[in-house]
Amino acid sequence: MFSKEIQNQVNNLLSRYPIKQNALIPILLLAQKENNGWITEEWMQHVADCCEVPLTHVEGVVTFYTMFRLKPPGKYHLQVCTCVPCCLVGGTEILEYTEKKLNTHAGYTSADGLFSIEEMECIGACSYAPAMIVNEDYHEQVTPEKMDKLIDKLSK
Amino acid sequence: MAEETLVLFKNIRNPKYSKSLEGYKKAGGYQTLKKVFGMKPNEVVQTVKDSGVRGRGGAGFPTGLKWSFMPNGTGKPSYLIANADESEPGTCKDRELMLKDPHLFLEGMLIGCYAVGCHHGYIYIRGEFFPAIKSLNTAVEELYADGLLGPDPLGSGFHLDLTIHSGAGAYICGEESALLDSLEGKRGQPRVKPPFPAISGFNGCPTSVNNVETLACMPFILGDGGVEAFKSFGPENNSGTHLVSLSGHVNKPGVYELRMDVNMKDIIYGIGGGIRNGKKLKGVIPGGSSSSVMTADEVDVLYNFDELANIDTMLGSAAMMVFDEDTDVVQLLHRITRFYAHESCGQCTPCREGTHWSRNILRDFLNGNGSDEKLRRLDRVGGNMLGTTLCALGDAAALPIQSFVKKFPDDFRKYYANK
Ligand SMILES: Cc1cc2nc3c(=O)[nH]c(=O)nc-3n(C[C@H](O)[C@H](O)[C@H](O)COP(=O)(O)O)c2cc1C
Ligand code: SF4
Ligand code: FES
Repeated sequence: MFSKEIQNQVNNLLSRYPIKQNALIPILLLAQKENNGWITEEWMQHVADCCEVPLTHVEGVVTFYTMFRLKPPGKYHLQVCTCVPCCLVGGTEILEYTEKKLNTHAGYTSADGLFSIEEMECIGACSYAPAMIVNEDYHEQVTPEKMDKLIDKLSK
Repeated sequence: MAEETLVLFKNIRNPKYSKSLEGYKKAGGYQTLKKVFGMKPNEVVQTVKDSGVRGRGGAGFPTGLKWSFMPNGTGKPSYLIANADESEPGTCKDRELMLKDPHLFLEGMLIGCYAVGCHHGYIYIRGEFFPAIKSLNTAVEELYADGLLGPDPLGSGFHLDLTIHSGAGAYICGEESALLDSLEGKRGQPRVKPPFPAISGFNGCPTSVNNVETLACMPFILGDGGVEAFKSFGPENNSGTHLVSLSGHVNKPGVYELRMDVNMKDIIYGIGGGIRNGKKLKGVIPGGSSSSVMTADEVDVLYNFDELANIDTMLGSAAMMVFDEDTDVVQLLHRITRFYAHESCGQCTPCREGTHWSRNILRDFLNGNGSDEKLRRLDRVGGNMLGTTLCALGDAAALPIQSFVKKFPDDFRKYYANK
């Protein structure tokens, strides 16, 4: 199921640990990336086979960690932090603003499939709050104006 | 006025610095590792003990002592794991090091591996830190290409591998035993202790888990700086500089490197530029969301481990969250309890139930359904979590609750006084 290039990365990961199971989480992350940001039962089975663990174990792991998603995210996944320092300087308002602008809610995807929103606990950028992650990039000291610009750019 | 003291941020604050291996070496990098390879591992551990450095991940345990617990001759491999999970609300200092000067931390990690006899170290980094993961990946590739990692770093014959391991989102995986379960490919749930990781850690082998910043202190302690200089940066038992993550209602939030004898007032009003919009200070959460809150009247103290412990709070991960007079502390505490309710791993009843109850009670307050009885219940729910759980998350959830209720009682009463 992995493309040849990713399969090489998987093999490399497996070689970095004393036990195959140790590589489970990094390999699941690769699988999720390969599958456009979410994990299916089929992928779980495939990763279970790679790591030589039962499917039930993989299911237990996938449901424990917040980064694993069981439904497809939007093309751009906006992870808005509202934890304590962000909340102190307007993070909650940024989340509300974004929900309104995209006419959807945290946990959902906009009608055009372009944007999904997730409310985050601290993402480790507190001195540059309010902060958010868009796919793999950090955005800091976010304001409604910056959000407008970003969404306009990504909508094009 | 207080200013930064540059040890860990010496390179980062130099505008001409390049964080590549070449740039780091030009700034004197990996010279300490060379020196360390000429020492015996137990001499390295003794030097770290002498420096008095205490862990920067939150618990403040002496690093040299931790390393001295690592047994020899067990027939099993020994492991050093860097804790780069950085998820304690308010904390954003390890990210700074990994993004802007990855080789400083990596040199420290290599020194640590040699000290504890680890031939394959792992960096457990939180999965959301994509930019920091990229920065570390590049740096580790440089080390392999240069021969500083692999079969024979600097001709030492000390075979050394390093692997960057991405987590997948769970605050609890910062707790070291949960981190180990997660690294093994399981749900990250804290283990019953003892046995401690030094006896049974990663895959049942002797393991030391150390915070990124703690490891980044090693090139200075064992190199050019030395033990005495390191100790001179703070009072007895609080040695070294530390990275302070300053956030909230200050004019100049940021990550600052400070000595351990700087007054909190100077951090807020000097380094931090005072409170935004000319407001007055109401309080500070001094050491990550897990620490007890302080009122404005309490901030005339030195910002270090012992001074804060003396006034019943803690330095934790040195994450200072400052809030002004307009802040609604009930809302603030509600946000904190929401965090713990979300992050409790659910193994212990007091934590699983207590974190949800406390959040629900606070929601009642916000919805106009507070009462004296509920305020007492909130305090009691906090008390029930203290010291009754498998890991320190239970305490971490309890301390903010009890301290907010004790120090800002009128703010809670305002929510139901006029009914
Ligand atoms: C709930 C919880 C979360 C923690 N999160 C972190 C973390 O994100 N980073 C960290 O270095 N230590 C964290 N710790 C502390 C670790 O358990 C451990 O003490 C630390 O990594 C040891 O490194 P040090 O001695 O260098 O501080 C956490 C502890 C608890 C109880
Ligand atoms: S105290 Fe909470 S987080 Fe820690 S082990 Fe118990 S239930 Fe899990
Ligand atoms: S609270 Fe938002 S980044 Fe830490």
